[in-house]
Amino acid sequence: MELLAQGIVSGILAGGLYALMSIGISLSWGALKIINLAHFAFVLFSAYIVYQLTVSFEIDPLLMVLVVVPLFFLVGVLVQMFFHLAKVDEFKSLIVTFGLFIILQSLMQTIWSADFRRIGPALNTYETESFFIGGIAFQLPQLAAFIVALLIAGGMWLIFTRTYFGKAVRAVAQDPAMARAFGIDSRRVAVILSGLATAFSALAGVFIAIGQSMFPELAVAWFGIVFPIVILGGLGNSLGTLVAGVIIGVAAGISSVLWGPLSAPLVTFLILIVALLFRPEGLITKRSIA
Amino acid sequence: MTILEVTSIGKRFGGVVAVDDVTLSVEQGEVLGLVGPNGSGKSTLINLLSGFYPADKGRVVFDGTDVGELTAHRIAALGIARTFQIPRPFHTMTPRENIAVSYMFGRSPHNLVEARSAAEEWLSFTGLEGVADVGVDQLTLHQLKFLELARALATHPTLLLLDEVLAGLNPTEINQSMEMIRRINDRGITLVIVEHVIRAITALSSRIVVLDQGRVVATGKPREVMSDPAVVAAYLGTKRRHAAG
Amino acid sequence: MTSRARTLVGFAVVAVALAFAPNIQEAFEFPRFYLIFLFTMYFWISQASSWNILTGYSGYFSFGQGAFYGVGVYTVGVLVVKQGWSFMAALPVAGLLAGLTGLFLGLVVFRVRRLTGEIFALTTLAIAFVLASLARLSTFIDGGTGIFTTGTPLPEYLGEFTTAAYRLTLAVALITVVVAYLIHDSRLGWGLFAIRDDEPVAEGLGVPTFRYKMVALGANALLAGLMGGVWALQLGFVTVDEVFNIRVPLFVILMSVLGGMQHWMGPVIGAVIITTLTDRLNSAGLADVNQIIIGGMLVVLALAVREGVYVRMRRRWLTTAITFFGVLGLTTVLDLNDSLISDFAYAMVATVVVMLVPDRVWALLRDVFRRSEPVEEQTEAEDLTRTGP
Repeated sequence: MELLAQGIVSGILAGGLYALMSIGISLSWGALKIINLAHFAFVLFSAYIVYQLTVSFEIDPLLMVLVVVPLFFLVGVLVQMFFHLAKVDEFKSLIVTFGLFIILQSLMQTIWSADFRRIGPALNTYETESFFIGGIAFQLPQLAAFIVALLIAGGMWLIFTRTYFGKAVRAVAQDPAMARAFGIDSRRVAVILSGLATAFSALAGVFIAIGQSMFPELAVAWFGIVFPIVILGGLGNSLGTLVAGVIIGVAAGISSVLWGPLSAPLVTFLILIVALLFRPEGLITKRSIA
Repeated sequence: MTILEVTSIGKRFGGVVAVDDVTLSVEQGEVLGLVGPNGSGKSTLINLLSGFYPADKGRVVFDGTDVGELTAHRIAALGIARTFQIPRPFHTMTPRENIAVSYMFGRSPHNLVEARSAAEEWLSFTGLEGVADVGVDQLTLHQLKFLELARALATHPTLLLLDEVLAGLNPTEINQSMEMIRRINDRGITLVIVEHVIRAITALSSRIVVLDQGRVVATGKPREVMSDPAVVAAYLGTKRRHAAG
Repeated sequence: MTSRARTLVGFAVVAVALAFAPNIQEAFEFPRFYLIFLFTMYFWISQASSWNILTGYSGYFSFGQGAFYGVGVYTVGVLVVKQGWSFMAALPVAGLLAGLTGLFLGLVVFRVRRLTGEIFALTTLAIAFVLASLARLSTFIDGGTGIFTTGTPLPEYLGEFTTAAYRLTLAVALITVVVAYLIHDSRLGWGLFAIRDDEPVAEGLGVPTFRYKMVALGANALLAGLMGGVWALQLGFVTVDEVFNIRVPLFVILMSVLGGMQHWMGPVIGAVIITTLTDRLNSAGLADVNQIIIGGMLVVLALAVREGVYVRMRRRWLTTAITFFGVLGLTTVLDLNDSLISDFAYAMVATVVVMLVPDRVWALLRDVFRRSEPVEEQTEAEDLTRTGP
């Protein structure tokens, strides 16, 4: 029983991290109509960079946030500008970003080899720390990731509903031409949004580096978990993504306890299938951006 | 003979009620005009009748068959066709191919060979023979609208729904289009025309239905309806909005 | 004879000729390697072509080729090796199970009303990993230990092992390409193209979109699984990682984008070119760099070449012939390479590079260098992707 409770708690926290990984793609798809498969590679690449800098310079890995987040924000900006120049539409974005993903993954494999990489307890004091409440462990990296995800989801919701920028994004998502007619610089909006999305992914990468070991194939393994979350959560809907992340996280956690970790992708996929079967009129409802 | 019977049909999108309890009927062979200010639900009604969206409530009976639960392609097979306000041709195909595809899947299925030669008929009916084999990106708006018509006609409909087919055309083109519409009606095809160009709709229609905010506000002969105070009120409001830009 | 019948006869002739390649190879003592190279090519021709039936024709992007292929591989692996079935009995089951997997996906996803295309793409992306997990979990299927398929007895009439592998892959590749060809200029094909261009409009004109999409998906999955079943023997040792990795979906996308997704010949050409190039890169020891190049090529091709090289090859046929045979002739005569395949590789690369020249630049060059021209170049407006009666 305690094991199950632990599984649930770990699942909720893991869900936060999954949500963090998913928010980038969700925003990109919902607001920019671009399905950016490269986000998985961004998350892992950020994790590898954190690993490398931490190990090479013996700095606290958490400080790496200051490095990767701005760096990947810039990457997101450049990528969006590239898409704009190359006139990439929704269909092409699948192929092009898939290609980008492959390039990045192979790059990671070439630089860091296929071996497992872990920062290690000497430099990474966070990995093994936990809070205990009622006998249930709240691992620090996962807890931190969850809190960050919560803040970001809440923050994005506030931005979209309260700020001018947020409304501009929603206008661009619904009707770019109209938005431009009202004086919104859709290119600038798109570029900033893309930068934000990538920055969030980079942030997720930091928590990956702190919380577990990495290997190049990890990015591919995330497909099966992140996409159900993105689809269930509603495009561009950060809070929805968080909720979906938690649901998937808990499902994966419980099934791991009951049937082993391999069962997790199966269960999450099943949830997606069931959801699609019972709501064929669309999971993407008024709660999404456009 | 009533060819289409619409009873209390309704459709909402989230919190917005697009069509609110509309009842109307269409007689075989007539030209029914559908007018109303922007946002009155005209296009949504067309989408409901052709099966693009399922209605939330109400009944639609076409030629004795309840079409409420049918998918759009079955409705097309029964004989309802529609055009789009902004033309939507198949962009990787030529006009001839567009029409041929439509012919292949119309009311009675046909094969490829028949379709290519049958397309000829609709190309000449709409005067598009000259541009039959070029890319659709080379067609003018007027030609694209005629292609929409040709494509819809190739399915051999008994009821044709036209969604603002005159929008964006200059006066000469409007006259040509009106002539085309008359010729279509002469072939025995019943028409429901959504339009903003008042002179056209009053000239073409045998009856007019006026919508405002998703409800039927008036029905009757063009002259009567257009002088009905309620209709004038609905439209004067619109005219003012239009005048303001 | 109609043009369709002529083409089918052409297929038959090519098939019979190719079927005798093993005999020729033995008689003339060519290296065995050529046979292996050829049937690897047949594998990819089949995979790319079956993928294109769905994605190219209907516009529904599928990342699921690996999943369908994997179902085929494991069906044969489990039924033949673990359950003792005969290979020829298990093979159709492999195709069938893969087909059913596809249809199941379609049933679930095609009923979704909005964003169907995107959700379909992402679901196919996820399903390979789900199936991989299933295979790993279930000891009935794999259980993490893998399956040894070497030494599987094959029917006598197929000949010895390599010959058998060769003829089986040839047969499945032939079936796949013929199916793709037949669908292309048929009512089903045109319906699919209409769906690709504008599905709601197609539906409104009477195209049974759900049914057609299911057929395309089912055909794709079945053929992918069939070839997977054949390939199970070739793999020797079947593991989850080897079967369900990103390679198969990646390559079929690359090949079809390169060759062209709107015509059944596109994936064939793409498969031939890519197989040749990767073979040469591998033998040059560049296997690792391989994937980075592949990814890069994918990005460049997707952006630069809208309709794929096949359509351009037909339009610029004279240039294609001159470039290809010219370079081939040069490299063979000058004996620059140790392998005939390398000669072909250079010829292909040269041709592809020439094809990559954008149409506008091409027209410019043409005007500059030709005075009285044989009307060899046809205008872009003519859509050469359509063949017909």
